[in-house]
Amino acid sequence: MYSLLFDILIEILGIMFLLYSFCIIVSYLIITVLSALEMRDHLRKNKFADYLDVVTSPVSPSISIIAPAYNEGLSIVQNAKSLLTLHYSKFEVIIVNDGSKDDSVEKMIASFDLVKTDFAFNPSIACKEIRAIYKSTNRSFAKLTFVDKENGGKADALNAGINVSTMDIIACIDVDCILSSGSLTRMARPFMEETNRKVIAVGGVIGVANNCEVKDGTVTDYRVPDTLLGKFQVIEYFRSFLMGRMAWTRINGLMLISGAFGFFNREVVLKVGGYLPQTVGEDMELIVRMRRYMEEENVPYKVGFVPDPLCWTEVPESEEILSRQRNRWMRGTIETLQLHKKIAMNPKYGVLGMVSYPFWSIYEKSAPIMESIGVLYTLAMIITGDFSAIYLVALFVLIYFFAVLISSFSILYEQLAYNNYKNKDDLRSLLKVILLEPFIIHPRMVLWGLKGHWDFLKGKGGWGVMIRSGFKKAVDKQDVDKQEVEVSQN
Amino acid sequence: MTVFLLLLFFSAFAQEGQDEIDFIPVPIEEVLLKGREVPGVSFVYSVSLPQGVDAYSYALRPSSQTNTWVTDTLQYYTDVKALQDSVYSHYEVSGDIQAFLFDEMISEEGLQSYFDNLVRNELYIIEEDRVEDDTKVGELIILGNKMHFKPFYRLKIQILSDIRMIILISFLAFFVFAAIVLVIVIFIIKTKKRNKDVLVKRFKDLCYEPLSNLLFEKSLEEIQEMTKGDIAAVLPKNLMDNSLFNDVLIQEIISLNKNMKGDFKQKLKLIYRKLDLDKHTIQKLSSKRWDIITTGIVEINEMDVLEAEELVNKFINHDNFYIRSNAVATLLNISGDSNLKVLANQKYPLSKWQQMIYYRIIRYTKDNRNVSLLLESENQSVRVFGIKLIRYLGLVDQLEVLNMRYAESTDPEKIEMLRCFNMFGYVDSLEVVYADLKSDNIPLVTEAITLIQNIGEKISLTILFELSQLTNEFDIKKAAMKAIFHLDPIVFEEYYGHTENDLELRISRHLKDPVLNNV
Repeated sequence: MYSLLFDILIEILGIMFLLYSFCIIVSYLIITVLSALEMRDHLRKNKFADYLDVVTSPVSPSISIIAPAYNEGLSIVQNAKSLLTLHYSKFEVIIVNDGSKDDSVEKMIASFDLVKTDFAFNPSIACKEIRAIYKSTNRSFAKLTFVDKENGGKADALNAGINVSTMDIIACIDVDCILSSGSLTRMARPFMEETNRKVIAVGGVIGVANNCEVKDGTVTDYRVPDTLLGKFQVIEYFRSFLMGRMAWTRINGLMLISGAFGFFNREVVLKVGGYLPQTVGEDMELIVRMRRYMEEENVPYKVGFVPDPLCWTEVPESEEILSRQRNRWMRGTIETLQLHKKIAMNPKYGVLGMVSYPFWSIYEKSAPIMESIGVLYTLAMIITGDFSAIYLVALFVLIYFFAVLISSFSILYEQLAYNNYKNKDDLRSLLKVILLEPFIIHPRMVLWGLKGHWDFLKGKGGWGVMIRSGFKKAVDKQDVDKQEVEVSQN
Repeated sequence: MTVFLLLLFFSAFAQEGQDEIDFIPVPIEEVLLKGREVPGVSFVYSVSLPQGVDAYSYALRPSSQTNTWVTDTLQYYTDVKALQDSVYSHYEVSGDIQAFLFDEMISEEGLQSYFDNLVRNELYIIEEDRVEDDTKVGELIILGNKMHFKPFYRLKIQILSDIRMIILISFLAFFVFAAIVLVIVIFIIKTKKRNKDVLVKRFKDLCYEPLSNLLFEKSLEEIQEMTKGDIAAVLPKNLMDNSLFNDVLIQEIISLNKNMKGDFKQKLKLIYRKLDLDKHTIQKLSSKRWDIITTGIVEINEMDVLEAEELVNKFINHDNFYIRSNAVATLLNISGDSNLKVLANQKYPLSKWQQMIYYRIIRYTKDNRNVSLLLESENQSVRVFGIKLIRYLGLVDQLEVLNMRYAESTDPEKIEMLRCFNMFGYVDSLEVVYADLKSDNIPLVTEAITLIQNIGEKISLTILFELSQLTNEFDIKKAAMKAIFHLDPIVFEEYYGHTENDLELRISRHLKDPVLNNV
């Protein structure tokens, strides 16, 4: 009797894993093809674009660059200067000091001749108290606004910046990011091109700056990082940006724009109530909420993506920092999916509800759990003696070569589209990492993902009750803000 | 749900298949008669004996029913059978044997079914009868040694009988197939791209010198007198029919054309014509690929191929954004369409990108353009663009037209008109503008306030103050207060000097802050 049940369970689990593997393979093959088509179209479109016009045209949209900074005293001045030199006519730079404990404020005041002003703004999005808003007495820095506020985290700082911003588009970036001088014109293009749909957000590619040579605020010589984890992240970023996000853009299903480099329609951001500081995945959550709002209001919209290399950042090369980052990303994903569970498999939300949300739930959120169960299943098979070596080897070969294939394609895409990494030694070392990744790095990723799940269950960082109950509508975030204000007033 | 059903189907199918192939039921009685015990199974023997009989000696005891004797629960069927035989031989009454499964009465079929399950799941192993004759064992071993080894489970059978293995092999095959296709496609693309890059570089080198020589060593007249053959003679002859070479040649000519002035431009266009490259360009318009058609249109634009006007005209309302945009831009450039008909007849809304391109073209020929037709267009985005052009190009003579149209215009048009009026500091009557202060459209109201700020009158102060008191919208309140502050700082002080409203206080301080003059 018990043997029969056990056999059935093993049989079902075995088939389930096979189906799961099959679905992953099919999904990623589709992603590979879609991203290739999107990349081809993008490169073709680029041939007909004159970006110089965008810089000076009166028709171009105005852009507010918002860069939150916390204890960035060492580089804040240099970074602000770099942002002020971007090639664009109508833009402002808002640096938000999120209660830094170092000398960021003093350095900014001294370097840009800043004075405290009585800048009046509309506090439509709740955020921590703004201590002061500074403007420069030097006309050369007229585009700069410096906001000093109480510490409240990145999302809270961005909300403060959004309240103070005055332009059509807001560009949310990490202050330590290196932006190419033409980044604003290229990112503005999708907002300008669309005729029948409203472009609510545009994401860009983040490049790995570790070990690269930077000159005049742009990367001039691309080199891969020295460490294994650094190299792995180069490949991972290729996979994520050049393949994943390009494919999602093709079907207008993009659910995530990197918090380090994202452009948003200010009007829509204000309508949905800005970032949600209670979640650690504020960048993904905002996009999902904005998309949800557009679907609920029945307004045709698009989330765009520009695959050109325009922004670079230093990635963590230490295991400790990387594990914390991945843990946070996993919790952010779970929290966002939990908050917007109403859209899951809901045809009313179109591609978002029927494709993007299920994909993220199954392949991004549940992947570490599924992989762990797979390992336990194999162990159980070995212990009970119902272990088929042929089966296991075949499955392993399938998964390993699949992982290698997808990573190789991502490098090929980069080579075909941009060919930035010209050094053959660099390419060889990336290929070695591709071969080693499934054995050395991937298990750690799974472990950090599981830790993220565990931390989420323990309620770490998030806003438990609200996240469990989720938003009934996209605009419900404003109610959360009101509750927060009431709580703080009491 | 589908996956679950599939799983159920597969698991049930697998189980059923195994039952049919592997299992041959054995009657339980055969096993029991061999004196073997089956776990959970027991028996009770009952018999009705004549009154007065004492059957205690048979290990029977009287039951609750009259004259009926029963045994205790017995584990071995052979014991019960032996007892039955003894009773029969003495009393000629056979009695009944009742089977029990875990102390519950069970029928013969139920017992057999239970036994089958035990055997099927290998919970009960049926022992083979021992070979009595030891000599036969030896013979069997000798016989066995003479036979070749033949495994009962062959690998092929094992793989094909395992549903998981079949699915896995199918996936593997699919994956390998898909991977090979992808690798081949990518390899072909990469090779083609590399070859093309090498060829383009080579062709560029081959074009550059002859073109430079023609440009700098020959006069315009000399080139005019040259035939196609004369010009082709300085270029690689065997490549003149090569499509890629012609493409590279055109791109080089266009590139030089952009960087040159005067006679040189004419020389380049002449060379382009003499080499029949215009025909090569026009051919591109028949392509199925949008990027090739667009390239053709761009080349027509750059090289002023006027005779292609009709052909390009077909594309002005094409559903592809890039074809449409470049076709309109080309016609604006080459057609001499002073009334901008091509724009006015646009079916699709104009994007900002298109407006940017068209503005760049119109800006250089503004004296020959009449934008008023754009204001008559049925397409709202075209009308809005027309009003923008009046502002960007400083077409003061069109302000009167705008004045007349203002009251009947849509909100986006009104917003642009207000910006126009604001820029030129002109409006026929502020009454219509005051009327718009009641609108729900915040950008419209703020634009109206900005205009009043620049050309307002005394009564405007009262209207703006009332508006600032009635509204809760930050942008409107700020714009209204700013306008009052600019129109009359003394009145502003009267209105807001003693206000206790937090928002008004903040805006007031902002307006008075000298550093924020332009914010």
